[in-house]
Amino acid sequence: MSKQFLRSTKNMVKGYSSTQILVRDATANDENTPSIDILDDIAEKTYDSVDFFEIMDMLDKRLNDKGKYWKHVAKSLTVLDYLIRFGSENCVFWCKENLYLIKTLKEFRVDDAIDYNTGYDQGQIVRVRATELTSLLMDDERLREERSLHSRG
Amino acid sequence: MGRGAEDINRAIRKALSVDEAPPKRKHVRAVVLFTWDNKSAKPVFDILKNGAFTGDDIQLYKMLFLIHKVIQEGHESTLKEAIRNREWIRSLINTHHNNSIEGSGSYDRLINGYTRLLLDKLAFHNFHSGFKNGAFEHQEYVTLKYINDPNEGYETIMDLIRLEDSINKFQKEVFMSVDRSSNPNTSLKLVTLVPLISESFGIYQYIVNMITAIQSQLADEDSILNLKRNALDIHEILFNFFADCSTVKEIDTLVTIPKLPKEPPDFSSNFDEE
Repeated sequence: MSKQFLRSTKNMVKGYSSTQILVRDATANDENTPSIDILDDIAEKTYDSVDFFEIMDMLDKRLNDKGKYWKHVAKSLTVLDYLIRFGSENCVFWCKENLYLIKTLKEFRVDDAIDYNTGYDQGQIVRVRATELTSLLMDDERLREERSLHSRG
Repeated sequence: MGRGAEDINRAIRKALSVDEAPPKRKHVRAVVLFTWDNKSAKPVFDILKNGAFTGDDIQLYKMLFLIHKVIQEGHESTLKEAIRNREWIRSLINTHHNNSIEGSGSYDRLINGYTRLLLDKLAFHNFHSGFKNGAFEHQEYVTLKYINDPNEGYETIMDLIRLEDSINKFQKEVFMSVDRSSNPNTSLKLVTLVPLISESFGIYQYIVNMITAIQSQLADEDSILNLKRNALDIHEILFNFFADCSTVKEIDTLVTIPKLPKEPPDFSSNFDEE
């Protein structure tokens, strides 16, 4: 609760736009997975060129966050994955241009990551998502198929 | 995490600290991203050359690892910059000291081995500039280019085989140097296997694809018999190498180790069906 309050204050103090706030909420450091409505909202906004850059800037920041905030990174990858399927063509261009941002996350590590209760390495989820997203971006055929499947009339 | 000129200095210093542990991934990644953002690796090499990292065996070993990773993952200008700095890299063979504290003296041989491997790699890239990617990720056009000229293709495959040999030699040295009874701190040595896995697998795929492509062009199959024999040897060596790696927990959790089929590649079939 207090974390959420803190974030909304930060949003206000730093003067983020509504689009940026949307992305920040979608990639916040909590347990929730970003809801499909928010993802849809963001995807819709990528067709506006001003919003598009705001979204990508924020995702870029989140992707390069440190290991402690692995949830930022993991969720940003989820958002990106959604955007290249459902967002504007520009999302695909941006991702290809900046493929190295995603590719270098394939070896992402979280220090002291092993959850001692489950023995589960929290870096794993980022590594798996980065690997999947990279292979999707490098496979033009599959990418085109995915996009035409989802294209709205 | 910033990616400006002063951040890169800090990232390199942190990656090359004196403690006997693998460089942290986030610092290595910061250096890689820097080369992409600036489309240049010159500042990276300038810092490495002037940073006095060669006085300590562990720092030196980490530096070789960092160079290898940045060549593999960085912007393609990194490879050119590294080729330009080959003489400096060569000089590293003789600069390391044997006066380190007990236990870390064992890096001596590994430093020599790693330096030689990097030099072999850079010599290859210098000669075959079609391979722009330091990590040997598959690109179809290189294969296509070489089928048109079987002689050049033959030479390229031979050079790839030589590079693969040199990786295998170093890989064995790393495994031999890991002796948990004398020094339980093995993670720094083992982490250097990570870039070797992807690289040797990439090269292997190139070799197999190119042999297959060239074979379909040649009437006389006997002329590439020794290439095929070499490829089969490499298959066996890599199969064992990957099996060895998968027993190492630190590596297995970090990267997906490619699975080679148990059966070696089959070059006997002809691809003449049209």
